[in-house]
Formats: sequence, C-alpha cells, structure tokens
Amino acid sequence: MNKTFSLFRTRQNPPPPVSPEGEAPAPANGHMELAGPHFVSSRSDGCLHPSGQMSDQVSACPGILSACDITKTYRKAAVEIPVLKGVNLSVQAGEFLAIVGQSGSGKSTLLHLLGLLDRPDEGTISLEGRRIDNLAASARDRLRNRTFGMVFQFYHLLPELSTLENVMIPLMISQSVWRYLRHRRENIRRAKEILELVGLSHRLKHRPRELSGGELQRAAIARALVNQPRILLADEPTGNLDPATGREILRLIQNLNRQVGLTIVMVTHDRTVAEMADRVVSLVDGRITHQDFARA
Amino acid sequence: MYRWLLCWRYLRTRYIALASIISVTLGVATMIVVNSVMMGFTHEMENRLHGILSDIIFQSRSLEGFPDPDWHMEQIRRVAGDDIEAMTPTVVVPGMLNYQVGDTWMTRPVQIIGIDEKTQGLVSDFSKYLQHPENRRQLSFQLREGGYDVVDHQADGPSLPREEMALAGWEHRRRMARMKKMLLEIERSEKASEASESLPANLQDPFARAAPQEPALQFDPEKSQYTGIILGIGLVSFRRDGQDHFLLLPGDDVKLTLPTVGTPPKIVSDTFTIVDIYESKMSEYDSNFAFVPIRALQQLRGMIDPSTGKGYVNAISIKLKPGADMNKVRDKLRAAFAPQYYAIDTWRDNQGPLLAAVSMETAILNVLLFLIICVAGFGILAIFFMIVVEKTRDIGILKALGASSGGVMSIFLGYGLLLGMVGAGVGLVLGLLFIRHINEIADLLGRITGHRVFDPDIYYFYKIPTIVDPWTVGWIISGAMMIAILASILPALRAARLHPVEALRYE
Repeated sequence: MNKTFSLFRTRQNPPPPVSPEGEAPAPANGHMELAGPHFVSSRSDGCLHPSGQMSDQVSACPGILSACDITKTYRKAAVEIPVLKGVNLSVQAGEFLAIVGQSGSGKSTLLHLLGLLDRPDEGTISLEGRRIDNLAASARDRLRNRTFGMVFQFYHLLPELSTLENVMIPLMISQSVWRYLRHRRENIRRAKEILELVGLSHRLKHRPRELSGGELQRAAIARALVNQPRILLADEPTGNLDPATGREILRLIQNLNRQVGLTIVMVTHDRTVAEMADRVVSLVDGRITHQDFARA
Repeated sequence: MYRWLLCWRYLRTRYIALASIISVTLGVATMIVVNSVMMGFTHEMENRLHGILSDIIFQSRSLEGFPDPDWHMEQIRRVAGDDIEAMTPTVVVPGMLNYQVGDTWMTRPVQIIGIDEKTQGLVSDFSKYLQHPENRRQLSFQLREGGYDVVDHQADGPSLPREEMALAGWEHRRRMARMKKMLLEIERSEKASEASESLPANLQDPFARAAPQEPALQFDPEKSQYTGIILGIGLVSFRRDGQDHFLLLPGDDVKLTLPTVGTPPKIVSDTFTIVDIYESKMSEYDSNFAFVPIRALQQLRGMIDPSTGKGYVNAISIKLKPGADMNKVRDKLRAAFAPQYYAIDTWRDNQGPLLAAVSMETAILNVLLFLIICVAGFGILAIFFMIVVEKTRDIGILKALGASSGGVMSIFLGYGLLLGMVGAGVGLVLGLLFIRHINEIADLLGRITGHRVFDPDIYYFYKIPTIVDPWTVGWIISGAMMIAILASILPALRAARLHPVEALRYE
C-alpha cells in the first residue's frame, strides 16, 4: 500500500505530493483561482448566516467542505415537495463522514448538492471557505472532475467501455485530445495502478456486463479516484450488494480514508454500514438531527 | 478524448443507427449516378450539337437567302477577322425525299442542306459523321468504289456490325443496275403477269427493285451517277435490337422535291445518288438532314443570279479560333449587320431551349434526390432521439464525472458526423461502382425485366455515357454530411440540457 501514498494527498501533508509521473497533479489549489464571493467565516460551522445570528443547528469546526442552511424543494406537477429544509453540515479534511437517513429523507439530494450535481434553492456550499455552489458551469464541471469523486449505488459504469476505459474517462474529460494522446501511456499506467489498488487488475478488458456487483463497485471507486480527488462522495455504495461484498467494499473505502487520508462523505440508510465511519450524522425530514462521533 | 471514444463505440455498437443512414447512402449513390449520367448525356449532346452547328451561325431570316456570300464573308472577316478560323456558306431548304423500297415509293420530309464540299469540314465536325474513311478525310460527292465502314467508327464499345454496308458503293450500284436491266428485259419479253413469279431470287432481296430509273438512253447507271447526296442514317435505315437494317445504301438513287425561290414558289425535283451516310447520333438530325452540293441546290432552286453568276445562300457557318469569345463575336456581328435581315446566333443560342430543358431536368432531379436525403435526415433525428433517451443515465454519469454540456453535445454531433461520413462514404463507393458497371447493370436489368433499360434504338449510343465530376461529387457528399449533422443537432442539444441528477435517476 506504500505507493498508494503517492497517489493521494495525506492528512499529514497538506501540500500535495508530486505525482509519480512527474506531471503536475490535478491542482490541489485549483479552486483557489475560482471566482466567487468569499464568505469569511465568523462561526464555528463556517457559515455566515444572513441574519448574522447563530444557527440553532449543531455546529462543527469549519471544514474542507461545508453546507449552510441548505434548502431544496422539488416540484412535481405543481406540488412542491420540500426535501431539505435548512441543512448545516461541515466535513473536516481527512474525515470519514456517514450521513444516515431513511429513504426519502433527502440524503442523496444533499450528496448531489455537495458534489455540485445540483444547486440548492437557498444556502451555500463552500469548499475550504470559498463558496462553490454559485460558480459558473465550467468551474463546476472542473470541480466535479478533479476535486470530487463520485460513487453511486448502481455503479453507473458506461456499458460500451471496458473497465480500464471506464476508469480513464475522468482523465479523458480533464485532458484535451492532444494532451491525452501525448500522455496516453502515463494515463493508462495511472488507471492500472488505481485498478490494482481496488483489486481489479485482472479485469481490465472486461465490459461492465461481464463483472459481478462487487467488481463493478470497485471499478466505480477506481474511476472516482483516478483524478486524485480531495473528497470522495459515496451514495449508498453497498446498497446493491450482498452483505459480504458490501463489507469488502466498505473496508476498501475505510482503507482509503485510513491509509491515504482521503476525505469521504458516505450516504446510507443502514446504521451498521454507517458504523464504519468516523462520524455519523442523521438526516431526518430534511434536517440534520443527530451527530454521533462513532470513533471520537 | 472521451467524446471520440464514445462516438466510435456508439457507431460500432448501435446497428440501428447504421440502418437509419442506409437512406443517406442510397440517396448519395443515386445522386452521384444520376448526375454522372445526366452530365454524360449533356456533354455528349453538346458535343454533337456543337459539332453539327459550328460556333456561330449567320443566317438570313428569309428562305430566299442573301446574295453574294463572298461579299458577306468579306464583311464578317472585316468585323471580327481576328477571331475567325473558317467560314462556309450553306443553303437550307425544306423538301421531300422519295425512294423506292420493294414496289412502294416512300416519301419523307427532309431538311435539304447545300454545302460546299471543300470548306464544310473546316467549320464543324461534319466529316467525322460520314461512313467512308476517305470522305472523313476530304469530302467528295463522287460515289466511292467501296470500303464503307461496316463497324460503326464512332462506337466506343462493341457494336453490331452493319453487314450491308460491305456491299455499298459502285459495286452495289452496278449490281442494282444489272438487275434492273434484267427486270426490264424480262418484263418486255413476257409482258405481264408471270413476271413476279419468274424472279423468286430477286424478290428475296429487298433492294432488288430499288432505285428504278427511267431508261435514259444516254445515262448508264452502271458507269455514271447523278449528283451526290449524303443522307442521315435515320432516313435510310431503321434499328431493331441494336442492329441497323438499311433500306438504301450508298450507290442507290433517290429523288428530291423542293420549292424554288420566287413568289409563289414552284416545285422542282431531281434525282440524286447516295454517296455516303451521315450519322451524328442525334436522331433529330440523323432522320432529317440531306446534304447536297451547294452549287447543285442553287441551280435547282434558281438561286443563281444569271447576270453575275453568283449564288444566293441562306446561311454562313463560322468557326472561331480556339479561345475566342463566342458571345463577343456574336455581339460584334449583330451590331454590324441589319437585324431585320440577318439572325446571328451562337450554337448555344440556337439550341437554347434544348440545353435549358436538359439542365432544368438535372436540377429538378437533384432537388428531388436531395429531398430524399433530407427525409433520411429525419430518420437520423428520430433514431438519435431514441439513442439519447436510451443513454440518459450515461449522460448523467458523464456530467457527474465533470463532462461539460458542450462536451456531451459534441458526442452526439460527432456521432452524427461519423454516421454521415459512413453513409456518404458507402454511398460514394456504391455510386462510383454503379457508374463503372452501369452498362452491365442496364443489360442485366433488361434481361431480368425483359424491358430494355437503355434502348440503343432510341439513343443511337451503344453505351450509356457517364462523366464523374469531382466537384459535383464533393457537393453531394458534403450536403449529405451536413444533413446528418443538422439532424443530430436537436438530439445533441437535448442531451446537453439533461440535468445530471434527473439523468442519473432515470431508469
């Protein structure tokens, strides 16, 4: 596992190590250049409340990723369904956070908002104190590509591509055609390393339909990790797996957190799954109601 | 990069999309074939028209013509001498041709054209269309001993030989004359009804009774001929299944009947001996034209001024030097000569309606075929919409992984472009192959359907002429690809607009 240390930024060494290829890694401070109003945090949870009053929600230390007073409402045929009703959440760098909630509690929506797949109706999402939810589309695309890694319940691999190609998609997205072709070998090597890390190096040429559920999720994790993200967002990563395979996947995720120091936010409805995390928060009826430091 | 990878994979895994561009392929192939064939025909036709007509035709508006062609040619040369290569005077008059086939006299309307045998060949391709090699070199209105072409010298492929032409010439004339003499003798001796019975051998030959002449004492048809005439091949033969059957051959005699000058015109007629056959492969001309020496026609019509000995002519055909501007010369001449007496046109003006009709036909065909490709475009649109719906989740994934809306859009635009390229490329290959083997295909279709696709009885060509113009092909291909791209714009926009969360939830 030693070499995996070179692939990820560690908790202990905030400045990112130069990747083994010598190529500048996805810039850790890429988001620094991003424009946007800067909210100077005056509160412990990193939120600046519009009224200036302290939120009555539970606060945490300002973290790498934080959500302030998030509300989100879906409209279905003129009926408004409020999903999130003012969520405050802060994720610390290097933390493994689990969000637990019943289905329909809005936990996936929250994860999508954190991962910039959607925009909150109200409230802000901040990355290291900088607001990111109102950025231009291209900047959001860049953050999704380089800063966040996404893992889904249904794996969501592209059926036309092999495992290796699926893992390389984020690299292809971040690089222009010429750059990609110039660094092709390097890219392939990196994807292979990641696949080895998740234990899939024997399935490089297989199509997704030829893989088992556990293998699919490993491939999806490899894809999420290939661009050296700072935060891994996992949406029910074990929801579609049998308990034994689910445990293996969880152990893999846990190892990523423990050994590499990757910040992980996982959403699940299963308390036993959430037990694996450093910290567990509960989402009930669109609000964070309970904080539970499983390993505090 | 992922765009190209995905385009390529979609192309290789979605056969339904390939099915949707079959109509593009067929449209492109058909357009290429139709344009090549039309262009081939047009080119062939223009060549022939031009060859028949010379560059500029200086005509009198009256059938009476104008006097003193030499003076006119002098004036023309004075106006536009630098551009003129050659000129020849002609007399044109409508008339009737009579000849005997078996026992029956046949009458055909003809355009009688008096030509100058020395200069006619200089202004147009006239001599190329004759059947005797010597006449092609230098035209003569004297009957040749023999040696007329048996194989069509203009055919650019295999053609059925014209066996009867081997007999043509003086030999044919002598044989006919001897038969005629025998016939007269037998008629004289047996006097009446058994005559037909006694000559079974002769009756088998359709030419046995051709060319009857009044028994002129001083004229021996075995040794001498009347004034020479060159008839269009459509007047002397008919074609069945690609084989020409001749009613008359060089050596036979025919009668011409025509109006004289003067008011009211009188009718005169004279006997001529066929010395060659004219085949321009434009059926309109081949079944209408009869060429005679200009002097003989002028005399027959009374067009010679008795005081000066100079003849009247109807027209002067002018050939320009290569590179000369036809329209400019025409305009100069129009300015110099009184328009109420003289009609001065280029060959294109002269055949304007025909050429315009052909180009109109080509344009309409192109519009129709292009509409077919447009219809194919809607097929692509529908299939693409289905593919976008099918790929909704994948689009969501790509967006979740950081792909921009523009990137997602370009996947489908690129896919459309690739499909268009494949469709147009296959169409191009099919079209070119079709053109290459068009005659074999026409034969095959004819054999299968029992109906000749390309009937040489009508067209006087043995093969379908084709010209592949690279520009036209380029336009067709880029047009087809344009349509494929246009058809993929709407689905691509839809894909780009998909909301990632909704796309991911889509099952």
